[in-house]
Amino acid sequence: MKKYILINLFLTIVNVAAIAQIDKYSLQEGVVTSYEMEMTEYILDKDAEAVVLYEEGKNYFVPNSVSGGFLLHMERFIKIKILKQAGIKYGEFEIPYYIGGIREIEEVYDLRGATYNMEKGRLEKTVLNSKNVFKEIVGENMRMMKFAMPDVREGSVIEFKYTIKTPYFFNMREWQFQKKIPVVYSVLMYTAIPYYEYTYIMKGATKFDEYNRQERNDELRFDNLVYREVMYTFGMKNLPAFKDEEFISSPNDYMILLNFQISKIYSQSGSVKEVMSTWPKICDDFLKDSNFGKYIKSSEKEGKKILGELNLQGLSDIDKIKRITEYVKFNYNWDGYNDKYTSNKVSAFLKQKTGNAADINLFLIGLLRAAGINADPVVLSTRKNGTINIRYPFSKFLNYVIVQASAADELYFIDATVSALAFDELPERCTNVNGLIVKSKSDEWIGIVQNNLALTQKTFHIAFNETIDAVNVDTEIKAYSFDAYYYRTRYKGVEGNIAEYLQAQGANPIGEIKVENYTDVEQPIIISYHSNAAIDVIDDELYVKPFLNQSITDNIFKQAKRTLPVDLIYRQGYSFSSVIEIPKGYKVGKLPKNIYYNKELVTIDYKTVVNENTVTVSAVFEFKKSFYDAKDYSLLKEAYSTIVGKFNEMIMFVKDSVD
Amino acid sequence: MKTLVTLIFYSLLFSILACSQDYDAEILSHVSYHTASKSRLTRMDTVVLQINKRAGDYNALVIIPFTKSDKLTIGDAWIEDNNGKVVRKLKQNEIKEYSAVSNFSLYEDDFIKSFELKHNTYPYKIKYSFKLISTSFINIAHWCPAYTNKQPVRNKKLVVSVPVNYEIRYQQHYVNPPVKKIMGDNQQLIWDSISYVPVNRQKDAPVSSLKLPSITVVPINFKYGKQGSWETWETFGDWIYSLNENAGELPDSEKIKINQLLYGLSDTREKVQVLYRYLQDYTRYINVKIDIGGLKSYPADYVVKNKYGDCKALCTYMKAMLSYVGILSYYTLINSGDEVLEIDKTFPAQVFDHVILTVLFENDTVFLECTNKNAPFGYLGTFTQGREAFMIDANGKSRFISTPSLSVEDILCTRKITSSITSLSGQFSVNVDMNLKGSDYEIYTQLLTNLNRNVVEKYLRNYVMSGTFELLDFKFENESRDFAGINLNATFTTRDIVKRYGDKTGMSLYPHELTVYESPDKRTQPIQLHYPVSYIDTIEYTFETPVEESSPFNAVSEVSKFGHYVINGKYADGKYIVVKNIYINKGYYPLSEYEEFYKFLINIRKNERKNIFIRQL
Repeated sequence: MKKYILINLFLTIVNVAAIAQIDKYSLQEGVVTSYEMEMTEYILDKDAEAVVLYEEGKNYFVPNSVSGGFLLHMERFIKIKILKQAGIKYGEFEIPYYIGGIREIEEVYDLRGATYNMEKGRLEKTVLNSKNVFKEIVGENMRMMKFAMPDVREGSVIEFKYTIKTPYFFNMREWQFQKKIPVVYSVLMYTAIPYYEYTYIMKGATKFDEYNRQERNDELRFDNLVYREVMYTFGMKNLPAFKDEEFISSPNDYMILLNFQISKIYSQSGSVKEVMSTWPKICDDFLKDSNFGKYIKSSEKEGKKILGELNLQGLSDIDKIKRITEYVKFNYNWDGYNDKYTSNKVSAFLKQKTGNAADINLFLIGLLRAAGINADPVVLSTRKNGTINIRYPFSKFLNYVIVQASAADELYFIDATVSALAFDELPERCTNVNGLIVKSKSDEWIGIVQNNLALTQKTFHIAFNETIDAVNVDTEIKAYSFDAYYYRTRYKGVEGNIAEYLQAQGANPIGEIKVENYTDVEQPIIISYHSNAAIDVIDDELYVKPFLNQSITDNIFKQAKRTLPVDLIYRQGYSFSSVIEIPKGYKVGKLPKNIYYNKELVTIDYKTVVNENTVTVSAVFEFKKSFYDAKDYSLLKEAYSTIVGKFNEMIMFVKDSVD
Repeated sequence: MKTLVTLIFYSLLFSILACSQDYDAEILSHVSYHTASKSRLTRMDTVVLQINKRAGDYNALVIIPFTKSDKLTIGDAWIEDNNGKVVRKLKQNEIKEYSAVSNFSLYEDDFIKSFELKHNTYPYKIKYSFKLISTSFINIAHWCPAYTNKQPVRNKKLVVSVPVNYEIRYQQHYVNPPVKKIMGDNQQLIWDSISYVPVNRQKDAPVSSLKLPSITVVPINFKYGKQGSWETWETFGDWIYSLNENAGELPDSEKIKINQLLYGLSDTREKVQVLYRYLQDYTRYINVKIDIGGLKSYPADYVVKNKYGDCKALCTYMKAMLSYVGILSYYTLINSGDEVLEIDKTFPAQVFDHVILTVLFENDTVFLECTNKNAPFGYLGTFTQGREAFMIDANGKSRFISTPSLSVEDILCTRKITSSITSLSGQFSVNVDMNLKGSDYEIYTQLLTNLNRNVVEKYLRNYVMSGTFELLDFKFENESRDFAGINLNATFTTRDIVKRYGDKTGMSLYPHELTVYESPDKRTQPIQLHYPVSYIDTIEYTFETPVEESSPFNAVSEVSKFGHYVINGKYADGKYIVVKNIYINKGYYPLSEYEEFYKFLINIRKNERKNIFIRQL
């Protein structure tokens, strides 16, 4: 009991010390404290290579007498302590900004920064020279301001400040409280005026450490407007570094941040423009939009001309869907851009033969409809873009569109941007996400999950060589669904590519490698080859690995602790089987034990059968789901550990003492 | 007769078709006119690109690089179908312009113009042309398809046109010499009907073995920042020298610092060492390339102010510091990377991509890598070891110098793996104690000094051991700053490496994953290994329960010109100890020796994967 109390007390002290730390830092630009300069590690995370001591944002509106409206200003000030050499990279910065038309440009101004170092007991300040700030053209409308702070080394404190001025009210930047390095204190102050109403959406946490709303007393005047500002303060303290884990969708889903969406605009006359909408209304807006609904209609018209060439007569609905999808996949290219709106008119898309996800998939909907198939768009947020919160109906969060088509009472999700996948298989980016089915007045969300099992089957036929010290092997790999996609994209029609891959996997194919169904994406891809392999010979006993190190040899779950859910994207499975010819004069000595495990999370099935002249070994492993809770991690790891052990066990042959 | 002609025609047609259809895309013709005068180089290119199949569509994105001082105009561009019918013309507003900043740079004033012309009936042709005007240049023409380029070039024509009194020098490889013509006041060099068929570069094949065609034309005299000449390597050296001539000024404040740092020191080597450490501790590598900054260094003062710079600037700064204290050092051009490329001494050219600093002591030469904050004094590593570099000096005294090669001692990595087997089934712990040198040392140091411990841990979890290992703890230690080696001690738990078979237990030898090469029937190119690889492992299994060797250890000792593999093991006093020694020599191995080389490696691999067996008593 005494021990328990002691520990508890100790913890309390640490906590107090940690929180008290904030007082040791200066929140003022141009001022550093001796504590900041002298600290050599961050008490709450001794491994931290750098720490954000303070970050402050101020978002406010400034009347613009030229345009007669307001401009949104976003100030940002950040102060970082560099603790280790690995932290020096935090002395380089990029500020992206947007340039629309001639007047519609964002501007970065008042950029200034300084680096502080202690040199032989003296504080040295090096100011960022504006000559060393560069502008990079990163996209048609995107620019990037880039600079490296001067004199950054272990021990430095850097600070910089800038303001972005923008006419785009919808472009209020999200505030990232959490970062890849710890944050001592981060605060955002937002000064609201009565003409623009924003909804804020918090991710990664449920409440702020600091929140305040304060109405300003003084009245402001601009033209004939008289108004009062309201200041909101959102603060977070002592945030740990965000640790990127394997098997997650997007760090953005888990990092603590605050997102602002303009929801209402009040005009001077008192009328209200609702920007925050409802999902049914968003659906209707999509359907009316010339880069969405109208595009589908034009595609349908064009489709009537195109379909003639596709010989659809007499085909069942599902075959029509397959043929039309194949036509779109093999005649049009995806330009690599995700979008829910088309970049062009249908006529231009037909000419350019290339387009974004919406150009391609909405065109496909048009064609399907022209062929009399029921097809609807499904808009979604890709995995990298982050999970969508259905409670906040902002179309801005959606960045992609796919197709839902039906045939014989079955529903199929289709994305025609990737040609190496079967017609109803979706690329990773739109798997395990929620999608909104765009129909008039619809509020229907659907979970986009891949049901197809990504399966790799490997079969081995193993025969001993004459001197019984090695084996000759015929291997066939048959891969389905995403596994097939994986092999197809590696192979690319070139034998050398697959040879290289097999070699890296430890197989040494001899002679020709046969690849079947490379282009027929509806079929599994089949790869077969011949090779030989070593065995262990000990005391006249022969030891053979039935799957020759070609099964699962490494555990993909290596973490000691898991805090985030495990997203495998799609369901995965493996199946290995081996027929080993028993060498003359030998018999099976020892066989591994059979295992059968079939529960909620995974299936494992390992069996051996001894026949007259052969031994057959088969092994199956299947994930039952594509998405697991963090608490399932240890079981998955355990299961994997079992199969890594089991699937690599050896079969032993001993001399058959006939005499 | 007619039938025969038709037959020949068709068989020809088929062979052409078959041939062209093999490639996703190909350049049917590429004509370049390079017209140079003293202050202006105009390049006009006309390209006919054919996309044969959908997989080649990515070639329809045409990218043309240029730099800020260049003027690039893209002319007419269109798609033609197989019948020569124009399908679509490019509009000027479809041409996009972006910055082209390499991933190792903060900023470069290089740009690209790009456009895309795609069609969906194959084959189709894209025809385009462009004009590029440069006012400062050191090359008139350089054409060499990259081996990574997968499109064949069916017909390349290069025409270089210069005034008759304009001196040029040229060189070609695997291309016939040019036809020379005099037209009025101009001379022309014409290379025509050049073709290139893509080659797949096999692992560790020297680039020179790929026999890539190339043409280089340079002006003897040029003005690029300063007046320069390609007459000889020495004149090139003079030009580089003149570009950076006044870059070495240091402000007084910096001089005072240097005085303080060197106070009381008299030994020259020690002084250099102190200043090198100062450079490492106070500066960092940031690359900003503006104007002719690809070749001309920022002045030392730029580094003093910002405490950062690229390889040129950091070398210039280091050289300036040394020069201030009266130590002579040389700005030295080198081609960096694992691969050591041979330099053609007969044709002076800009074949370097990096700069180091050479300090000549009385009996010793030290090369300083100024961009690395952690390199031991004088350590070059795999990046610049064992090759020729060009040391810049004034007045025609620039010269080639060789950097030292990594020796066996420099790259020997040792592992001691201790596994204490508490029971013959279930989990037990493994301790790995590694002394890493050479490229392993470089990789781990890079990881440690650039990444968070969390990321380093992820790397270790995934790459140090294969199987189900749980990383319990790890620690890196560096003997001293001037020692090119690092120690990693890591503890794992596992159950994978020990397996029971009846009364026997098999245990892993913790195999090394060596480079995998193609089997001899697939190899078509020689091999060149640029530095040796050497591992010595001691694997120790200790048992709590009494055991015996199942059979005596099958020792292997294989020695060949490619290296050696020696393994021996013994069980005694409750311990099974296995010692392995792997050594792979560096060198050039022609194709005729490949089979032997491959066998040597495969043997190592087979032996590495074997198990040792014990029997429980």
